[in-house]
Amino acid sequence: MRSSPANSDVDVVVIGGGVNGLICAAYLAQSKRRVVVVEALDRLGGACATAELVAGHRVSAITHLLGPLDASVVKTLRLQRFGLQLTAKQMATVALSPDGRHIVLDGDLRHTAQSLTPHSPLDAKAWAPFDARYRKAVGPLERWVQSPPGGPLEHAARSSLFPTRSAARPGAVLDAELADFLGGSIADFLDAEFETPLLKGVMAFDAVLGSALGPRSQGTAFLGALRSALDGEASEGLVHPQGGAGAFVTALAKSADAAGVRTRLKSRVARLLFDGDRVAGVELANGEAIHAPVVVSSLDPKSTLLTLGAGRHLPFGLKRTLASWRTDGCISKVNLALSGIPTFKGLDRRSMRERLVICPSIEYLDRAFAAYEQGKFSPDPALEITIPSTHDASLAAANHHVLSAYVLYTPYTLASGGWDKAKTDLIARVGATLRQYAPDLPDLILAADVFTPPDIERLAGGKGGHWHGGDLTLDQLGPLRPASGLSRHETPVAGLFLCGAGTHPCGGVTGINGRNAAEAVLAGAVAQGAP
Amino acid sequence: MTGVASRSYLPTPLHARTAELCATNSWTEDGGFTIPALYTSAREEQGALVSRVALCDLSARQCWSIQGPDGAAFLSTATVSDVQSLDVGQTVRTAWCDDQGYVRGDGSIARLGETEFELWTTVRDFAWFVDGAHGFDVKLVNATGLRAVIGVRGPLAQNILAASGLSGEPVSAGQVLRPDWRPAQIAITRDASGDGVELSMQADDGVVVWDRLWRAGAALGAATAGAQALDNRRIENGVPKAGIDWRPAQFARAHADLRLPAELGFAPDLNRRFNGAAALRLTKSHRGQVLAQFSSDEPLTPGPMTLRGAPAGILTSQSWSHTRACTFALGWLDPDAVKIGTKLSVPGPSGPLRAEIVREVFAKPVGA
Repeated sequence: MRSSPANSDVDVVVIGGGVNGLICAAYLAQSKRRVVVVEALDRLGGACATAELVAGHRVSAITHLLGPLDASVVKTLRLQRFGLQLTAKQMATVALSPDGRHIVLDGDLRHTAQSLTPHSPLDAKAWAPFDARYRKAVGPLERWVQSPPGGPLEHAARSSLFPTRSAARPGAVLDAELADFLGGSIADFLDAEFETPLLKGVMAFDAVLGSALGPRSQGTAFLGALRSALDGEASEGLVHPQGGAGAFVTALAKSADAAGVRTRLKSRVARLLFDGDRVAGVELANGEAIHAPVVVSSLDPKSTLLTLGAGRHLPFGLKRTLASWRTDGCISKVNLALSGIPTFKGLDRRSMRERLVICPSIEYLDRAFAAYEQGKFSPDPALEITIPSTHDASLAAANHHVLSAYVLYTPYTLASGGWDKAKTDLIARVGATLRQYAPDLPDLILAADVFTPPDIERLAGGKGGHWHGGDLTLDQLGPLRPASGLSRHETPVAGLFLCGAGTHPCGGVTGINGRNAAEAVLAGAVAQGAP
Repeated sequence: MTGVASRSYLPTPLHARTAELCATNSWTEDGGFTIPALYTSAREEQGALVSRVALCDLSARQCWSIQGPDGAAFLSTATVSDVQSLDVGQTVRTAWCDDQGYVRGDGSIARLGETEFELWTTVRDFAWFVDGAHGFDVKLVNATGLRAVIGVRGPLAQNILAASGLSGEPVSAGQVLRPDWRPAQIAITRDASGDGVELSMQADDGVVVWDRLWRAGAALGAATAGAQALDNRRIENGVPKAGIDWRPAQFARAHADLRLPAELGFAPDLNRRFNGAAALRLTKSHRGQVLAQFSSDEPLTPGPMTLRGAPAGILTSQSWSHTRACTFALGWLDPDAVKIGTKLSVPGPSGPLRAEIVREVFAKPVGA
C-alpha cells in the first residue's frame, strides 16, 4: 500500500472526522501512510465537542465523559504532549438516593460495602465476593473487547442464542454456561444477587446505557459485562479532559496533524469510487474525486455500505442484515448553566466531582423504558449527571457551574407531536427529577439546552443520533457487529474498511475501534505484499 | 385444504373454471392459493397428460417481474445463471444461493425484453431479491396471482392451440400470441418438465382463454390435471421440488438439509461473480449427495433407505403411475451408493419394500 497506484492522490481516505476517524488516521499516518480525512461538517470531533451554553458557561455539548479510554491510544498518539490534560480519571459512580444514603461504586470494595450497609447488611457482605466472581467471569471479555472478534465466539450469537437456520452451519459451538450468561437480562441477573433496589438500579442503568433495551430485555446482562470489560486494566476508566470533550478532539487533531494527516472540512462524500470490485477512492458532493487504494469509513455501517454506492458489490445476505441495522438513538442530553453549586443531600463536595446516577430501582428504569417503547419519554427519567466545573475551572466563571445529564430513554421519533414542542417538557422533567435530590438546583438554573436524538444526528453527523453508531443488542454485537464476517473492520469490497462506533466493540470514546481499524488496514497491506 | 380451518386461501384467476371442473372437490394449497388436487381421477388425469392433452391451472406459482437497465446484471448476480448472455425470448432454469453458497430456491428466468425479465418459482423468496436489489437500477414486482397461467400438457398440446385458433405453428418459449378473438397478449413460457407449453396472460383474460382451449380440446379428449397428477409427472420426469425433495437454505433445520447447486444439477461458472460464488469456490471439491430416481412395483413411503442393512440415503417423494403401473420416486443417495439397478430397502407398512435405482437425475449437470 505504501507504493500507491500512480493515479492515487493519497494512500488512505478516512470518511468522517469523528474520534474514531481521527484515531485511525493518526495511527495510519504514524505508519507513514498518506492520509486525508474528509469531514462533512465544519468541525472535527462528531459527538465530542465543547460548546458555550451561555456566556461564561462552557460544557461538553453531547458526549460528557470519555471512555473507558484505552490507555495505549493516549500513549501512542502522545495526546498529553498535544495538550490533553485530564481533570478527572477513573471516575467513581455514585448512585444517588433522595435521603442521602448514596451508594458509591469506586473500585474500593470496603468503601462500597460501607455505603451499602445502611441499605442492606447482606448486600454489603455479599459485595466483595460478588465483585471477585464477576471480575473472574468478565475477565476473558477484557481481551475480547480489545481485538476484533473471530475466535471461539464467532458463531456464538447466531447459533446458540438465536437458534435459527444458521444453527445448521458447521462450527456452531458455544459453551452452554457462557450462552446462558450472554442471553439473560440484567434484571434477572441482579435479582439473583442483591436485594437493594438502588444498587440494582444503578447496575442495571450501566448495563442498558446507550442501548434501546430495558433492564428486563434479554442480552442486557451481557451489555453489563461488556461495559465492565471495557473498563478493564487497559483503560483509564471514565475521564474528563480539561476544557471538555472538545479539548480531547483538539489534542487528537494536533496529533493527527503532526503525524501528517490532512483534514478537509465541509467535504461530504457523495459516493465511493470503484475499480472493478475494489474501492478506488471517494467522490465529494462538489464532484471532486480523491483517489486512494484504501478508504476507511467512520460512518455507521449501514450508511457506508448502502448509501455510498457499494450495494452492487455486496452479498445479498449482508445487504439484508445491513438494511435492518438499527441506529435510532434513545438518549438525550440536557445541559444546565448554574449560578452556584447545588446541594445534594448527603453528598460532599468531593463526591460531586464523580459520575452521579439517578436510577433508584430496576422498576424505575423499566417504567422509563416502557414509556420509550410507547414513543414517549418518562416523567421520571433515569439520569447520568456530571458537574465538570467542580474539577475543571475553565468551564465556568468563579462560583458558577455547568451540569450535564444523559437522559434515558428518549425516542428518536415521538409517538405524538414533535421534539420542538417536547424539548421544554423534557427539560422540566429533568429539573423536577433533579429537585428530588438537590432541592435548590432548579433555582440555580441560568440557562438550559437539550439535544435530542435528532439533534445529535444533526450535530454529530451520526445517523439516527445513536452514539454507538448502531444499537447494542446481541444481534449487533461481537462477531455480528456490524454483521457476520465484517467484525474485523474489513468489508466484502476490497480496500474498504470500517472504523466507526458501529464496529466492535461498540461506541463511546474508547479509541479501540479506530486503532483496530488502522491495524486491520496495515495487516491487509502486509497480506498484499506491501512493505 | 391442509386441515387448518382458520386459514384462508386465495382463489387463482382461473378459480371460476377449476371449481366447476373439480368433480372430486379435492383441493390443495399452493403458495397461499387454493388449487384442485384431483379433478376426476388419478388414472384419467395421468392418462391425459401422457397420451392426450390436459389443461392445468399454474397461476399459483410465484412470478416476479424484474425490469430496469440493470435487470440482466442484477439477475446474473442474484442467480447462478449468466443472464446477461440470455437472448430475448430465451428462458433458463436457474437457482439462487445464500452468501454461503447454499441454494435458497430454483425456478426459471425468461428474458422478455432487453431490460425485462420474469422469474418463475415455487419458492416464496421475493424479499430476498428485493433486499439484494440494493445498488442495482431495477424495479421488482411480485406479480404472483396477478396473471393467469394455463398449462397445456401432453402430446396433443400443439393441436389444442391450433384448434383454438391461438397458433397453427409450433410455439416456443418467449413468443407472444395475440389472438384475433380477444385483445389479449399471451406469453409462452417454457414448460419445466418439457412435455407441453404454458400460457401466461392478464388475470382478466384467463377464463376466456381457458374456455376457448377447453372447447377446442373436447374433440381431442382433453382433460384437466390437478396437483396430484402434475406431481406424478414431475417425479416421473425427475424434477425435484423445493420444500419436498430438498429444503431451501433459509428453512434448513440441519446441515444435512443444505444443498449445493451441483446437487440440484447446476454447474455454474465459479469464476463469474454471483451471490455465493466466493463460498462455492472454497467448497468445489465437496461432492454432496446425488439425486436419483427409483421405481418399485409397490407404493412407497418417503423415508430412510438402506442398502444391505446400512443407511444409504433418503426417499423424498413418490407417486404411483397408473400409466406405467409402478411407483416412481426421487431420493438422495451418497455418491458411492449410486449404481443403476441396485435395489434398496425402504420401510413399508408390512415390512421392507424394494426400490430400484433407475437413473441419476443430474448425471450431466448443466452449465448455468
